[in-house]
Amino acid sequence: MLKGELLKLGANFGKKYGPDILLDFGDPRKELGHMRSTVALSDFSFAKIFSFPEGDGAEYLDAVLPANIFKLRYGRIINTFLSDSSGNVSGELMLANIDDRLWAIVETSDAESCKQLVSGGGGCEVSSEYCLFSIDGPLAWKAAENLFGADVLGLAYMSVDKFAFQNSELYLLRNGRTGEFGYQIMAPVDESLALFEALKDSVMSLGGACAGFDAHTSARLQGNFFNFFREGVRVRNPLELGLQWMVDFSKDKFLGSEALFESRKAGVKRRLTAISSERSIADDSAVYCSGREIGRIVSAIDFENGSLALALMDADYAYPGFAYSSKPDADDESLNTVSRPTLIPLSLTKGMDE
Amino acid sequence: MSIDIQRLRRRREISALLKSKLIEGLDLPYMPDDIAEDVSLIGSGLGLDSLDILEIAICVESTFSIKMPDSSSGVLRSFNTLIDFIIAESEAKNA
Repeated sequence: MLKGELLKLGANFGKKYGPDILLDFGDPRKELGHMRSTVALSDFSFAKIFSFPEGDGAEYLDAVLPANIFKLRYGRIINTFLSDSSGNVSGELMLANIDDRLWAIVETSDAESCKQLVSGGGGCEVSSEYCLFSIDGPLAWKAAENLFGADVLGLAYMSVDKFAFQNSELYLLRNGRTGEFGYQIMAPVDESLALFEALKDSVMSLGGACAGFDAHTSARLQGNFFNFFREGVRVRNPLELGLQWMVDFSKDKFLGSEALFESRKAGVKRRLTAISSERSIADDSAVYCSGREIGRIVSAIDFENGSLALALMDADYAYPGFAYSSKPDADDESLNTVSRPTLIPLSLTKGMDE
Repeated sequence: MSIDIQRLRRRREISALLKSKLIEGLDLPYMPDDIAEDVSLIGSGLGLDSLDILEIAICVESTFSIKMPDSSSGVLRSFNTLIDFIIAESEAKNA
């Protein structure tokens, strides 16, 4: 029903990221513009949702996930990744603790990892029972406040709370991954159409619009947020991806820990680094320094004034502020390593000002 | 054409020094190699709080003799943006 409504609004769906995802509403750059200047509403129903009872679930998830799940307090969210037995990343996970349950929202294209995730701890997949939307932008807080009241303003980053919507309750998670204010809204699937309409009205009243995942992909790249569907499917080693902060290295064991700890001991030889260029950068193209290949592009996006990419580079060269070449025998130094985030979000400078 | 190896070496040295100082000063549960250059300092990533930010300001001042700006949220977006600031300030001082 919701998909029909989205199609009527001009949504384009596709499988370029793996699962069937709403990619855009015809103009991803304009949609990104809304995300950066006002607010954008996105359908995140491609994400998998899992639910665990708090006690058994915490015990089990702590044995499986790289983060320390026992540190996850009520009303809070932890960001970590799904790992396979080789210590490789197989999905990104947001785990929220509310209502005596742990709710895992997972971005993955790996069905095996999902099966593994619910193989213990009393967990079950509830993706078909819930809808998931995201509102992102400097005015996202206002769009949420319009619908759920002023209590939204007290919700800290990486927190979750319950709000009333019409005849039911929903969860509002403040866990944006664009650099701007951002919330995910998880509600019973029966409410999906009514909730979407209400969110759309609120967003549009603030000058915002609907957006697809392509706009999110650009925003995550600019904003320094991990994107499993881009760099995550091409670089599987969490240490090369720079995801050490999602791991509690004091834990004795979790799924894939042995391989990950070995890799850590050996040292990181390659690291993900952002590259900008006035020219278009091709996915999987090489990065050269003095004729020697020192890296490869794993995710590149064209913007209005050039392109931005992530390259997996030899660690010795993976520092911002240097110009490298896209060709082995050319003098062109068109690939410039840059620091991320590449912009200062409006949300950071303006805060929650009208 | 080749890159400025001296500059690259200097960036590596500043990065390594700052990592070890931050781990020590903030009691972070990491080894220097665990701190990715682009890791966010506030919010996601290392998730530092306001007291940690004060500690960073003291650390940068005592290690590099550089004063952090009053509003440092732009500088502290990531480890790399902090290093960018330290290098820019050092170069400005030595110009």
